Amino acid sequence: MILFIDDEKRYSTIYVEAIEDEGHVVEFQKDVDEAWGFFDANADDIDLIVLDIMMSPGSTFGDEDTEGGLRTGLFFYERVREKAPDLPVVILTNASDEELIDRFRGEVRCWFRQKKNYLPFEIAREVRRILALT
Amino acid sequence: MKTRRVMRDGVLELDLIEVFDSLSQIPLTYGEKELALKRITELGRQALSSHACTLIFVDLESRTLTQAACSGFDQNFEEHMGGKTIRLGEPRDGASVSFDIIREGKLIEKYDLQSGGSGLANPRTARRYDLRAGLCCPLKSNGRLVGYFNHFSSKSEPFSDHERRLLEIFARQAELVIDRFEHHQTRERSSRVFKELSQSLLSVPEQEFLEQVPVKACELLCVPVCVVWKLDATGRQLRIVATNGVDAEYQGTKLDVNEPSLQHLSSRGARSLLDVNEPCPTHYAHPQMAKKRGWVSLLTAPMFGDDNRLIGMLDVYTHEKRYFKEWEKEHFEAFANNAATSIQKAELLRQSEENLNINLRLEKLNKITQEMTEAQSVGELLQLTLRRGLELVEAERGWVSRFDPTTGELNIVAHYGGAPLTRPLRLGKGITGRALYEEVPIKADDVRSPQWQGVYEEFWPDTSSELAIPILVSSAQIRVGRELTSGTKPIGVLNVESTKPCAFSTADIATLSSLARQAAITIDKLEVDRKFADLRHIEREIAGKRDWDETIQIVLRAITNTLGYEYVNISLVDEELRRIRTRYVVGVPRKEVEWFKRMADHALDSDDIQAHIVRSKEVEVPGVEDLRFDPKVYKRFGHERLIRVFLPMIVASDNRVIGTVEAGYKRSFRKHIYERDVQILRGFMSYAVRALEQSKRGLLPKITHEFTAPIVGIRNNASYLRQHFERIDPTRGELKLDDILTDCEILLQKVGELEHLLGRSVAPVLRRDLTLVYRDIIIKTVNQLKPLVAERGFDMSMIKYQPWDMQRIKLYVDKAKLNSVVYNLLINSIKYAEDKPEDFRINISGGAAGDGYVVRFQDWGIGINKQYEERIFEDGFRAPEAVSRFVTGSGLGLTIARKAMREMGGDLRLARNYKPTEFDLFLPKNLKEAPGDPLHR
Repeated sequence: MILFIDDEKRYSTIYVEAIEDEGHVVEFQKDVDEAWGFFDANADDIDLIVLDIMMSPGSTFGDEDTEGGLRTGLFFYERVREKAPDLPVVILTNASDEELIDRFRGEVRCWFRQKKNYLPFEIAREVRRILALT
Repeated sequence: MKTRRVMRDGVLELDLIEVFDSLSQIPLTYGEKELALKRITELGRQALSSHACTLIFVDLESRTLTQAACSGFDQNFEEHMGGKTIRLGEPRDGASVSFDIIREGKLIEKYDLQSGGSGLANPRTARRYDLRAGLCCPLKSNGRLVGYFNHFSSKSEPFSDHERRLLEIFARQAELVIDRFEHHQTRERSSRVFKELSQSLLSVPEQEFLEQVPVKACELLCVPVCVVWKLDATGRQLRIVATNGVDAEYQGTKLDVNEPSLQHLSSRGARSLLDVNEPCPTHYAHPQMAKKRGWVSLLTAPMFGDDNRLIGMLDVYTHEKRYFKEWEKEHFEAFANNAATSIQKAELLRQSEENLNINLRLEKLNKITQEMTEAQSVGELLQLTLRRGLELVEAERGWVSRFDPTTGELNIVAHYGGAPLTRPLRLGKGITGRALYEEVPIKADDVRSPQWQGVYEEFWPDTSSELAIPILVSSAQIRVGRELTSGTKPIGVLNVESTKPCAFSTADIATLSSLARQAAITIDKLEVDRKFADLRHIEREIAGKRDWDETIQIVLRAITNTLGYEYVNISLVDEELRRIRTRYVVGVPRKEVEWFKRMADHALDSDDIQAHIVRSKEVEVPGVEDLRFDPKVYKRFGHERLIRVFLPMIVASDNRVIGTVEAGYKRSFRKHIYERDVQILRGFMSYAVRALEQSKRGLLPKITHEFTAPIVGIRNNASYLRQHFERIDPTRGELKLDDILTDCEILLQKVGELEHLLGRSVAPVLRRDLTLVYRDIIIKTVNQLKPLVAERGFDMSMIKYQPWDMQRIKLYVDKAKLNSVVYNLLINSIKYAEDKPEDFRINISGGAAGDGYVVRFQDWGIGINKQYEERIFEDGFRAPEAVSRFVTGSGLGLTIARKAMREMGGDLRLARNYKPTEFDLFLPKNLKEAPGDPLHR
């Protein structure tokens, strides 16, 4: 199962559908609290996470310095890594600042993808490729 | 954290910020002027993406131009241009740079440099280095044209408005940097010169020492001539006692102190004369002698001795016209004071060759001066002053007190030789208080005599004689109006006592006065250093803040706690309403603050002092009777009791005034606003303004980010339609198209936000259409937002409007503008609706009101917290509830919407904040005219 986390449902549906068209089961979560709850309960069944960065921090990350939500995904990612160090994670975001890109540069089993550079079907192919690799 | 990059083409926002940061560091990081100027051109080239940048100095008198620095793509170019001086003239005279163009002192824009040079360049050089167009911005100093900063392009395309604006901003900043660089260099030279002069005082004979004074003065100001005049024994004539760069004939000159040109000798402060050859005798005593020697400009300062008595005068001359800067005058005045004290000491040394005691005291004083420079705190320094003071005059006991300007009390810092003193003293009371109040030493030979009855305050019962020496900075620079002058700065009092009557001599007064003066100067410096250190710490704290209010609160604390002002008023400019309003105030009783804010609200074009400061961009300390004070505010809040400085809050990058800071204290115990404090406050405020603007500038990356989402959305949907074109289900296709239309609408709104943020004014609409507001705007917008309603899982039918309104509101309007307003209101209602779809509801109703119509938008969403009602129309403001729901959002939507309504002659108001939240849109029947509007032809 693919866990797809993004707070903008309208812009995400097209990606979710493209991944589903590749034959995957996708669980879409738009709220980080619920997404974390889902991940925590189903970590063993999740094959890959597609994760946005700019999201409301919710209560799960409310105490972290998410810069008003601009970095919520980063904290989500770090928490995922504590629980599942080898789980493939695709960071799919509109954010493009270099500092953020640098932050993910050395990460293992993590793929940083900017939405502007990938069409939905290309992301679906990326997911397929990554799953085949791992 | 680094600023994010926000533009990909041309110059990045990040780069510009870095360029301006690097520019401001130049005075501190570069020691040589040549290298500093070169760095300015390099940064200019980077900021403007120039083919080449040059910095030239011009001398209109001699009609010459000097290439001071340049930066280009090619080292040969830099070598070719570097340091060249050329004659200004006209092409017909063989000159490549036109004197007439240059002397205008305006922005120059020239093309076709390679064929004709356009009076701006040698066409051969232009061809060789591929310079095709030039944009040159004048550089000024003291309002006078001193040079140009030039931006050259290798293209023949016209320069854009952006380039022109950026060049002007850069040139203004470069002017400041050059001025600061020179100031910094003079400061360094000044402290070196003082140190050397002080060291040679004891090591060389008096005449040799005197001869060093003019040499050091020339070194300080980089001038060729200096004359030291000394008042003779009669006190009526000034005679030359030392010179540098002066012939023997002139050295025999004498001046009568009463002649009109020497009137300035009665007050402190340096005075400059641009042209000493002016015939008017009230300006200059002997123009013919100056003319003969080729002296052109003069800077002169009186020399006052320890006892505030005039002892002489210091003149420096130049061979070329020189406009001395304010800070040069300040340094020269300090030099003259220091030289005067040293000359007096040297005289004493000579006179006391046989008086070993005085000689020893002077030597000791010099050693104490060195010791004082090592003190780490004011307390330590005052203790040292007391200890050494007692040793110098061999007194058995004494104390030192520190003046508290907020209470008028003199608090004992240290005492020696008697029981502890706990009772505070007061300014003007007792011998101690009087000495500081009257700013003179007071010697009581017998404190029990009738002369001191009612004055002397007993601390120790067996005291017979007392000496109180005020510790004060005798010539601190103060600001009065816009001018700088000098005044005293009280610090404390040094008291020495004896059980014997007549224990202290005149020599004791002179010795301790000298010690106290040195202590005052050192304490003043320690205080300034402390303020700087504390402010650096506070600036770091500000750097970590992103919230405007939080930042302002830190700024207010710094102004009161660190800089010691009791009263602060920060007023901000409302550009839209053209008003300046108090937003933050300290020193007004809490319950009065709201009244104060209500009253301290003035039109920008009014005569009020705040409005005046915004317009003039000048720092000012207005007098008590200044007519620009609002009499109502002045009277009600007791402002006659205050002395205040008013500063404009200027955004350095575009010279825009965003508000004013007013800081002051009660006049009861403080008479002046000190210039050094003004400069510290000014420096701190420019940092704070930059930080505040940057927190606002953070909006730009956010808006840019918000562009990406709909663009990617449109592209993804288009790609989907393209891929599935042949077999797409029509309903699904329609949804995709709706999505695309919505995203297009969102993008249009974002363009509006960007324009607003960049401060670009949108051209007035030339055509208005007769519009049915409901049908053509409201319903159309509701339909455009369908995908957003669906995304939240809401029912479109819950957006309701009265069918009878449909045909009623019919107006000639700027459709795009009104569309944007309605869009903003509706999108907020959808975004901030509660999560329960069953509670979702939006009502739109309209009706006639006065000369127009009101359209009311109601929703039952999360509402607007009462405390933010006033702020929701502010630029960039987002309520915490909104931020917690949606990370992105610029907080500009309502600002732009209200502005648009007001531009059309209508308005947008919040009528109710919660369940329902109500916004009223006022649409006048007679809409405001726009120039050229066919409707009104």
